[in-house]
Amino acid sequence: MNPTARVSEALQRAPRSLGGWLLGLPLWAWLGVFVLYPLVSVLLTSAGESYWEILVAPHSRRAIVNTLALGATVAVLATAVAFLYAYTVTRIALPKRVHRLLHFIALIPTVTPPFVFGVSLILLFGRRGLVTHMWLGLRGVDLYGFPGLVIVQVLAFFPYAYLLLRSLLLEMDPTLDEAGIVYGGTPFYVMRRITLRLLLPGCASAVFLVFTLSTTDLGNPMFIGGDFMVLTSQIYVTVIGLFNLKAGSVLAVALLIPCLILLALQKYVAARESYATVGERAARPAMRTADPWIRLPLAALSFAMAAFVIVFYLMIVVGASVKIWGVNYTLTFEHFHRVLFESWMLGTRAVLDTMLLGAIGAVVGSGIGLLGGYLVTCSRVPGRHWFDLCVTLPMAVPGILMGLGFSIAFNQPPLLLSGTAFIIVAIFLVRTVPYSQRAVVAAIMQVHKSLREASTMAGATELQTFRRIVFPMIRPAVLAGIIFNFTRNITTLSGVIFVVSPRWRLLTAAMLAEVETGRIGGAASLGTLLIVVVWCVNLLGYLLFERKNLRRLGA
Amino acid sequence: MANHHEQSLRRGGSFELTLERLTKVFQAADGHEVAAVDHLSLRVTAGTFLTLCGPSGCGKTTTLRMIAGLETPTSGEIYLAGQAIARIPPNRRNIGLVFQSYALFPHLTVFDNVAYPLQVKKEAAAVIRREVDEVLGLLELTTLTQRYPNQLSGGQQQRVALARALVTRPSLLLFDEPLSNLDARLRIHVRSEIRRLQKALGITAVYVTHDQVEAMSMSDEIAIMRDGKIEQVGPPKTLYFHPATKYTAEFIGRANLLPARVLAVEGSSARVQVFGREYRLSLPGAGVSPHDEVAVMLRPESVSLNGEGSKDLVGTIRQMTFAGTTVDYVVETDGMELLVTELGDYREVPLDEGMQVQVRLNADRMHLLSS
Repeated sequence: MNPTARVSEALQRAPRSLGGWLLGLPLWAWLGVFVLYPLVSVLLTSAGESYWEILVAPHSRRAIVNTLALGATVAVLATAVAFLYAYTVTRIALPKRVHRLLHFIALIPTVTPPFVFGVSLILLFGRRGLVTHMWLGLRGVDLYGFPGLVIVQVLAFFPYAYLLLRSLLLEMDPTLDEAGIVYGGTPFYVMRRITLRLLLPGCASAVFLVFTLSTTDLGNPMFIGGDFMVLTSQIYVTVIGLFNLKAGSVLAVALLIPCLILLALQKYVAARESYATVGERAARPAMRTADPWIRLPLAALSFAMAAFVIVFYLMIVVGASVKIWGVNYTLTFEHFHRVLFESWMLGTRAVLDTMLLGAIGAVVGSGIGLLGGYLVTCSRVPGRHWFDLCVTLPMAVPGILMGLGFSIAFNQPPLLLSGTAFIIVAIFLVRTVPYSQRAVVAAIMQVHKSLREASTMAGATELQTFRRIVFPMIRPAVLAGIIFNFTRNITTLSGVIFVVSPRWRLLTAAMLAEVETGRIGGAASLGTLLIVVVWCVNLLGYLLFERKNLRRLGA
Repeated sequence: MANHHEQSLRRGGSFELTLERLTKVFQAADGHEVAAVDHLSLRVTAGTFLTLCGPSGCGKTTTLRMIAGLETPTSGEIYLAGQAIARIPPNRRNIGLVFQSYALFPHLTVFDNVAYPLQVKKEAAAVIRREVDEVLGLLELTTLTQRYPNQLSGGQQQRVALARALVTRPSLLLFDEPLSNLDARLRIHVRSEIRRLQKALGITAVYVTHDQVEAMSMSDEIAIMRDGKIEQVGPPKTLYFHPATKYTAEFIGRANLLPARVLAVEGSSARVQVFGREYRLSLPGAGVSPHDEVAVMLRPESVSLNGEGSKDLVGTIRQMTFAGTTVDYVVETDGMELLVTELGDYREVPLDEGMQVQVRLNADRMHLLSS
């Protein structure tokens, strides 16, 4: 290559890299301040302490054992249920409407804070619960602790496993099932030896996913854990109840370890074998079996699960609308009135603050995710792969650890942010940007490379290609991401519990306060409000984006 | 060795397959009902290799899937060896099916893939071993038994799929476009391999393809399908030289459809006028009457350019495509374009685009179409 050509190539490249740097620098700065700094703060806080002494203390040991036992039980049960549920939805002959209804019901817990189900458990199986007290006439009996947590977490988390397994079942080459049948297998035999076998890596992923969700759940252990302490509730009690920030930090770091291991396992399994995507992409939907031996039990189980979800869900609304649960079932608005309008309108402010901050966080988060996704996939900025890793790192960090990090790091100069709205939005962003960026990257990958290349060949710069070709194609994903972010923002408890302040209130934290003071009716009415907000926004999102999308696809 | 295997596998026997007014109605996305297969009746005599051939969407794959039992017919019946099977679930039909994607189980070795049909029948291990070894030997797969599908080439996967289809000595062998994932050279090889095996085993086979060359080179009989119905059934030569309809004529091979007028019908033949000249052609199945405007089919190789003897027409070469063995011309004459195929270009004065040529139509090869 002659020198002139080299110079002109360098000139061509320079502006691109410069533009990329201009975009990249603020993102790196953001990562440093709001991801690494809080994490390092927790580590430093915990460093002075004798880790070993804190971890082998009886209450910590008990919390660790409980966390693992609960996580493993919930993960296995939820995945088993999720597989059968997903199999029913994708492989069992039922009317189309029933399939759609089952799918829809399974989506409900994914837009609901998990501890809403915890409140329902109190209403159903608590000491004055509908089932335990009123129907069975038991006195002083409840399902708090391990059994209750298993029930609630399976209900709240099986949908995540279901969604994962369902998409794998839909992607699986349908001719494999057909071949299994044509060569003489019964539907049950094919389900076990072909379908389930091919889905094992997916099931393993689902187990690890649910395990993580269970170990990082704070609300349910707080609401219905009773004496059954797990790491998250232990951290909360240590920090808020005992004011022992150092011991809390040690436990929070300890919680990070299983989360990292689970994430690594999940990646390892996903990378190792993915039979499900071998072969033809599903051109035609898979066969649906009508064999009664497999159809009836599976349908019954799935309907039962769906019914449980609905009952637990409705229970919140009922619990919010009667006078004193277990004593006086007169319909009343008194709980709503109290939480919304008494004590200086605290509830109303919580609703408004939650919506405002949640919305700001959702929009900004999607923006950052879009920028990050662009940098990672379309640009040639140096270090972009590291960037992807760093941004997605918080996925593995439990919300309570991140929240603790925020409360330590930003409670002192140079960045004194405690009590501001900014700190809440910032933690929303840290918790959602990884998902936004991943979604953007995945959506961009869907846009065939040749389309981008065609645009480049037509003379467009990278930025032009992104703006005119890539962005219009991924816009639905970005808009759906805003709704997802909002939902996640307003339903998180563990992330915000250490950063809420009297000046800025959030519904989830307010719910925890109600439960802690034993006002279940108040908690239920706040839960109802939260659900209403979530549904309104999701419905709005559906009407605005999804339907248009579906119409464009001709569905 | 292979011969010995073929002998013992023969015990499967050959059976007749009959489809009787077979119909499959699907609900389209807009709510309308569409008959993918529409009152289709067909008889495949024992030991015959029949190909269902037609463009995509003609219902050939749906027909095959109904025979396999993967789709339930809306109405009609399927008889295999005289027994009605339309209501028998697919796992009890003992039919071998080779899938387009092969559908090899990715988590099982070659041996276990082929053993699967016997294992689900709970055969004794020794029997499974013997039968699988036999069929693997027949398909020359003995060295690959412990491999997994993703460690095999496309052609090898194809043979494993065939082995799995044959291992139970099925009463019927079905193929769903099994060669579409192979490269052109391998396709020709596997084509003759499948045909040789099917003949040696004497098994009745139904093969689905949209590729008419594949259909002609493998089949005893071809059923041309159109809109869920059968347009014409017959041996490849019959369909090629004596198609019943324009549709068949144009689907099988390339064809010139010359406009013609019937002058008179005399016994089993008719006098027709083509390009102003009179020809006496034998009548097709369906009747034609005088003054009918009909079409006469003439294959491109039955037209010659600048040859000896009388000339019929004068035309201009509009396009010439050299393909090695043959040369294709498009000749414009009398306001229509004629397709002409000749063996490789051995002329002293080569023809080229824009040249005027004398065109001769081979009257012996003209075929009168009724519609």
